[in-house]
Amino acid sequence: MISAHARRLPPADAALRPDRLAALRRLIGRIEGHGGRSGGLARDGVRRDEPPLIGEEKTRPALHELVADAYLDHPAARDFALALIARLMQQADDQSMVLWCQRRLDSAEFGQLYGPGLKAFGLPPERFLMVTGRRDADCLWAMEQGLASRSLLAVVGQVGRADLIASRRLSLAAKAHGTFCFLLPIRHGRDPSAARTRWRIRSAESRPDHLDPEGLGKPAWHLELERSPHGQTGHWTVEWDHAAHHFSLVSKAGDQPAAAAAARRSSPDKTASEVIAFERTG
Amino acid sequence: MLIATVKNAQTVTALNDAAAAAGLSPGMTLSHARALVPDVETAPADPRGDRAALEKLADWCCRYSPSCGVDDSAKDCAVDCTNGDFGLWIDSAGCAHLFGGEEAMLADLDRRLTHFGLRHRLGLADTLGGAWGLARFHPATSIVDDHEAREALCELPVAGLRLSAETLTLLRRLGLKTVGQLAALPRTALARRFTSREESQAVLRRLDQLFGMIEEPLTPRRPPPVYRAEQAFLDPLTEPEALTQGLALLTSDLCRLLTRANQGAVRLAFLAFRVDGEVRTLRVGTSLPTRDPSHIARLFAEKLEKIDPGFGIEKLALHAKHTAEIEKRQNRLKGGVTDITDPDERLAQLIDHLTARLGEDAVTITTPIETHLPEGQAAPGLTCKEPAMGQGARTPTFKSWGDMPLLEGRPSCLLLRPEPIKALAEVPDGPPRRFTWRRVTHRIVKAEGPERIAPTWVGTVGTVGTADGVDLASETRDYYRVEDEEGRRYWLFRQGLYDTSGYTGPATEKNATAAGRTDGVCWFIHGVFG
Repeated sequence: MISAHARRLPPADAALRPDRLAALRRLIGRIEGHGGRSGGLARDGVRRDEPPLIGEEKTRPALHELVADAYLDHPAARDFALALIARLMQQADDQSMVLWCQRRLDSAEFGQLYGPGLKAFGLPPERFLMVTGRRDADCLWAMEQGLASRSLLAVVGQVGRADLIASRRLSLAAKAHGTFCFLLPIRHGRDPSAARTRWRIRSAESRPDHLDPEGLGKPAWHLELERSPHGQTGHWTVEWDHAAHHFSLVSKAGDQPAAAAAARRSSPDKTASEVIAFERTG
Repeated sequence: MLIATVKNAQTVTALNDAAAAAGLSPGMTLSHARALVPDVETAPADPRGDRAALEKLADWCCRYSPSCGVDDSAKDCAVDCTNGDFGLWIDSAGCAHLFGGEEAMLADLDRRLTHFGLRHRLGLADTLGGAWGLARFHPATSIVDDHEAREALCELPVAGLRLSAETLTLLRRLGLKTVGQLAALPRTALARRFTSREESQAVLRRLDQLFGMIEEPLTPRRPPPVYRAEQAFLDPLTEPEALTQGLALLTSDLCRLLTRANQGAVRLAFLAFRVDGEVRTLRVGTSLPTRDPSHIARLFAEKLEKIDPGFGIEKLALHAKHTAEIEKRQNRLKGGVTDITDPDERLAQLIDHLTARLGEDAVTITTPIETHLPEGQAAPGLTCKEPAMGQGARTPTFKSWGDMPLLEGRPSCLLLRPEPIKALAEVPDGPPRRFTWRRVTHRIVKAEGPERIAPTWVGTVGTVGTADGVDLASETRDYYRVEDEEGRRYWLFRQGLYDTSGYTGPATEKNATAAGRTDGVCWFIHGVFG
């Protein structure tokens, strides 16, 4: 197969021609099922320095994977998911619910959703339908059922791991039934995934509150976009304002050098796996 | 021969034919029986096991009629029900024709009971008393029709009247041997012959019950539901696919009934009657009343594999145990198939589907509880609309989360129970400087607190329990929100207070020694912020 393709490939200089590149992108876009819009992000009206999904524009329902950078960053990934849900709730005007699936085993790690905490986060606890499954298969099944019911705002799954088949099923179901799906795998390896975007999340130091310099500021996260449909990747540090349901950008992609981030990750107290490099250009 | 201890003596309660032929009888003491037949085999009596077996058989009898039960009407009579003479009743009114008439039904029942290896006697009459007497005192299996009812019943001995031993002795002394002789006497004359008014009343009441002059209420073991669908099969089902088809048949039947009555099922039971007399039951609940055949079938389909067909299933039944009225709504036609437009209904179907597979306690919506203890403030609320059982009424509950005051600085996830940590903090009420949790040490750079939460006065709402031998409900807690160097935030609390006077109080002392600390306080982590 590969050799057959190689034979048909035009010379290298022709392959780099912009129109050919655009045509290839359209083809990939059609294969991935998002219409095959041509052009980069700038033409969609999205600024390059602003991460997708958390920007102001309405995003279409799809599967998004939120991966914790280290074991202790799981609460950060969880709260990032909650922040995204808060944004979705703000955008949607109905009172549809959120299905939150969790393995019973994992609830012993960082606990279960807590009503007063959700309220403090700016979320209505009565709109969260909690499902605890014994195995990953139970959770993935429940997520798929939730997506297929077309009555939910979003489906969140804290699962051990989801392989390519599972994430592909969820991705197709999310697109077909128009429901957002967030996958929070506990064991984040190099599993291939069919998610539309994959984020790696790490807690960030909060900026001191100007009213209470000693106290804690707003929650902040380092976000690393590892995978996105248009090949956009990058680092951001965002702050979440739970009262206004608003993300604000603390630093842009260029502010934190990748080397520094890599140094942080490789420090001995972390158990993070290596970041997979995506050789894509916007 | 079965033996039970009655009045401090080991007594024979039941025996088989061989023992009876050897001259033994129930009521003998064991030593007496042993003297007569030295090599008699004995076993302890098991009244509870007998009762359970009888109830199981009563369940099986539901295949003939929805109304049947264990006969407890003759508890105080001479033929003691507890001593090996057990009775079951089946209300066959309106059911006999389904089995080809009363004779055919009794023949079928007789054949099946013989097949089970049970010794039995059958009687069928217009009244429970009549059937009771016929089954026990009529020589053959007998059916008494209307026109000959009185004659047949009059031939019964007086023992067939469910009377006590003393009354029977008296009647024997009076020379009254059959029911007919007794019934022929004038009632006032009869009443005068007994020593007490109660005794005469009992005889007259039994007589009236026998002839159907007064009503005798029957309490079915399982009250038959109003809405049910049943299907008996000529050839017993053994294939799982056949079960699925049978289920589809029953759901459409039941839903037709429900639609006609404008009702929706909330609790459903699916009963499979096996040829060996076992009854397998599956139960599902729905969160909204439903009469959608495919939805009900899908709920049971998750559990259908739990039914072991054994040697075959001869009858299936689907009962709607609880129903509720549902308002009519229009379903949109989409491409020729009906599509549910209401998202609430779709959500309800989703919840039903999830609970059917994962269990009722696996699908919850958190409910607010009125307490100050953080771990008691939210309780998992079940999504199934169970009729209120009175349990849980003691916990004060907010109507909705909107009524609960907003508490800032709570983590979105709470640990299942507070976990003890090693913390280094300023005395008396400074935030910790560093702490070790799950063998990782965190250096704290920012902290907020304390937020003091006092113990509840009376009792504890919800389950608080203990962690590491420390009673968590008894002492004041000071909560701190802290942030470490990495920017991770934790919700910590200190249990107990540092006391400057040196005395820390008995509870604190106890808790401190339990946690292996000597300074009177212990630290816990209760949640992790994102």
